[in-house]
Amino acid sequence: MRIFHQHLFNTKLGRRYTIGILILFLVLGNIQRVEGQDLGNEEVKRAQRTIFIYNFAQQIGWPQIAELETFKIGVLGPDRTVIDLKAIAQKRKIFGKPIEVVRYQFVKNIKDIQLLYVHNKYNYDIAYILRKISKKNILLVSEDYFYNSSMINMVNVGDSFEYEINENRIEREGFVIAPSLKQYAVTSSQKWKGLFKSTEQSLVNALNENEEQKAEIKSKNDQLKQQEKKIENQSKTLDNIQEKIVENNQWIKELSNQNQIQEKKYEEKLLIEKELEKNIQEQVTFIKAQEERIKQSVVEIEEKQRYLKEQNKQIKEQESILDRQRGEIEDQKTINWYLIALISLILIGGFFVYRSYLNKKKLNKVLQAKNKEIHEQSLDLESKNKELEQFAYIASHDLQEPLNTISSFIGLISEDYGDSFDEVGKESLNYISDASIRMKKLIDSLLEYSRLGRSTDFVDTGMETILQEIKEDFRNVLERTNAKIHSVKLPVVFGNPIELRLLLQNLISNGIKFTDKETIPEIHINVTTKNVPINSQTETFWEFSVKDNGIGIPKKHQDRIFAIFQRLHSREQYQGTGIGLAHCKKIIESHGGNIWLESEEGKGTTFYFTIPKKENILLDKSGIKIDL
Amino acid sequence: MRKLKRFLLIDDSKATTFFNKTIILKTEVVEEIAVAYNGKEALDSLQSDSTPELIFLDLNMPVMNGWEFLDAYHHPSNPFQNSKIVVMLGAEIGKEERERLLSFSQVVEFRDKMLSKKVLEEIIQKYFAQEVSSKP
Repeated sequence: MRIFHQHLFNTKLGRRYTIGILILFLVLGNIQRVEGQDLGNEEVKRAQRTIFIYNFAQQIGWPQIAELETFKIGVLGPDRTVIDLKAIAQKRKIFGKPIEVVRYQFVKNIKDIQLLYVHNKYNYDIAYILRKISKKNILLVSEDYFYNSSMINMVNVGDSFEYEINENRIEREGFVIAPSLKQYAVTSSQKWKGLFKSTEQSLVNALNENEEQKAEIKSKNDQLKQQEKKIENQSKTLDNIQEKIVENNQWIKELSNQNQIQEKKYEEKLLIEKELEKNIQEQVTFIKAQEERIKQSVVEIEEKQRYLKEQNKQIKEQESILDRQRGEIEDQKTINWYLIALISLILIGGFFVYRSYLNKKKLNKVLQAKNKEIHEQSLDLESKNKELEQFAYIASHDLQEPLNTISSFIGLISEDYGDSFDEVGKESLNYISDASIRMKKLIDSLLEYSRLGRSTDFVDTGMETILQEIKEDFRNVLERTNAKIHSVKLPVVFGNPIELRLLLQNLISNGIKFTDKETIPEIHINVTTKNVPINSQTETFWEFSVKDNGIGIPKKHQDRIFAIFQRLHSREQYQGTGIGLAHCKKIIESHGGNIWLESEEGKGTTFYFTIPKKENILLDKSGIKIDL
Repeated sequence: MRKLKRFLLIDDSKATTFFNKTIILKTEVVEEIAVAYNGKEALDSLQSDSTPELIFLDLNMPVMNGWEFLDAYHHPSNPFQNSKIVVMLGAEIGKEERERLLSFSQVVEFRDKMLSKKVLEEIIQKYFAQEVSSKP
C-alpha cells in the first residue's frame, strides 16, 4: 500500500514540476516584456529624478547660503544622472544661485559641494560616505539604499519617485527642513520595503536557487523510497520469527499442566494433618484466657463502685452551684428588660431623624433641578449671545471685501478720469468716496464691538496710569480746544486694561466733543466706593463719575443713548459713528458693573459707571462672574 | 528700465483681477499678465506656459483654493517652483495661518487684495531690483 502511495505521489510531483517550469518560462517572458516597457519610460524617470533632486535642494534651509557664488551638486560614480542634472542646471537656479554639477570617482575627493547624489548600484558604502561628508554642510541624496540609512533616500516607483528623510541626520548637519518636504516623505520602513523593487538579477538568482533546491528534494525522495523497501523486507523476516515463538509457547504450557495435578493431591493430605494439631492447641489457649478474664472482671467491679461514690459527691456540689446561678439569672432578666426599652427608644428617635433627612433630600432634589434649569438657561443665553457676536463678526468681516473693491475702483476712476468729469460728476464721485470711507469706519467699529468682552484675562489695572496716557494721546485736542481735565487720584481696579482704557477714552472724548463752540470744555473725574445689597449680602463697588459741561442730553433720549449706531445729531454737526457709548456699555457689563447718566440740557452730563472691587469677584472657568 | 517676463494673478473675483491687472499695466514692469480664476486653472497654466516671476495668490476660491494650490505647487514632483508668491488677503488672518503660509518657501509677502501702484513698486524693488535695473 505505502509503496503504491509513494509512487502516486511521485507522479503527481512530476506533473507539478512540469507545470512549475511552464509558469517559470511565462514569468521570465513577462519580465523581459516589462523590462522593455521600463526602457521606454527611462526618459521620464530620468527627468523626474532630476526634478526631485532640485526640489529637495529648494526645500532645505541652507546655512550661509548667501555667501555662496554657485550651488554645487556632486554625483558619485559613472552615473548618467550627471548629464541630466547638467542639462537642467543651465535653465534653473537654486535660491537664486547658478548651479554647477561635478562628478566624483572617489568619496575622499568630495569637497566644497552643497548636495551629493549617489545610486546604490555603484556600490558605495553609505556609512563611509556619511562619515566623510559629515560637518561639511553637504546634503546627501541617495537612491535605492536601505530605510533610514541616508539623509534623503529615494526609490523609483512607476514613472515617479517616493522618498524618505532622516530628519535627525539632516538637522545635525545644520539644515532646516521645510514642512512640505516632511509631508510627502514615506515614514515607515515597512512601506519602504514594499516599494523596494527587486532587480532582475536577484530574481534570476532566486529562480536558480529554486531549481537547485528542487533537484535536491527529488534525490532525497529517491533515497527515502529505497529505505522504505529495506524496512518492508526486515518486517517480513520479523513476522516469521514471531510465528515460531508462538508454537514453542503452546507446547510448554501443555507440559506444565500435567505436573500440577500430581502436586495438588500430596498437598491436600499434609493440610488435614496440620488442621487437627491446630484445633487441640486452640482449645487449651481458650481455657487459659477465660480464667484470666474472670480475674479482670472482679477488679473492674471494685473500681466502678469507687467511681459511683465520687459521682454522688459531685452531684451534690453542682446542685448548690445551680441554686446560686438561678439567683443571678433572675437579676440578668430585669437588666435585659431595661436594655430593650432603651434600644426601642433609640430606634424611634432614629426613625424621626431619617424621616426628616428624607424630606430634606426631596427638597434638595427640587432645588437641584431648579438650579440645573437656571444653569441651562444661562448656558443657552450665553451661546445665543456668542452666536450673535459671531454673526456680527462674520457679517462685518465679509462686508469689508466688497467695500475694499468699491473704494479701490473709486480711487482708480478719480485718478485716471477725474479730470474729464464735469462738476456734478466730480461731486458725485466725492460723495461716493466719502460714503465708502464712512462705511469702512462703521464696519471697523462693528468688528471691534463684536470683539469686545471676549477676553477674560483680568489683571490689576491702574486707572491713574490709563488717565495719564489718555491725556498724553489727547494733547493736541486739549491744546486746540483749551479743554481741562480735573481728576482725583484714581485707584487700581481688576479688569481688562485695553477695554477700560477704551471706556475712559470714549467718555472723555464725548465730553470734549459735545460742547457749544463758545464753551471751553471742562471734565471732572471722581471716584467713590459704594456698597450695594445683592440678595442677602452686600457687594462693594468702585463708582466712577465723568462730568462734563457740554450740551447735555434731553430726558427722552437718555435711554436709547447706549444702543449701537444711535446718533442724536447730524454728522455735519458732530462727527462720529455712534458706537462709542455702545462700546462703553458692553465693556462695563463684561466687567460685572453698571453704567448710567444724569444730564440737564445745556448744562452738562455726568456718566457713572461701577466696577466690582476685587475681593468680591471670583471668576469661574467660563468667565461667568459668581457673586459671593 | 527692463521689463519682467510674466506675472500670474490667481483670484476668483473678476473685479479684483481686472483692477490688479490695470494697476500692473500702469506700472509697466512686466511684458505679460496671465489670469487664473482658481488654483486648478493656475496649475494648468503653469504646466503649459512659461514660468512667471511673480504670482499673486488669493486664498478663498472655489474648485481649488489657495491653500490647496500651495500644497500642489510644493509637491516635489512639480518642476515649476521658481516663482515668488505674494498672498493677497481679503481680510485679516490669524497668527497660525500666517506662520503656515510662510512655511512655504516661495511665499514672500502678504498684501491687501486690491493692489496699488505703491505696493507693486515696493515689491518689485524688494525682489527684482537687479532684473529691472536699466543697465544692460
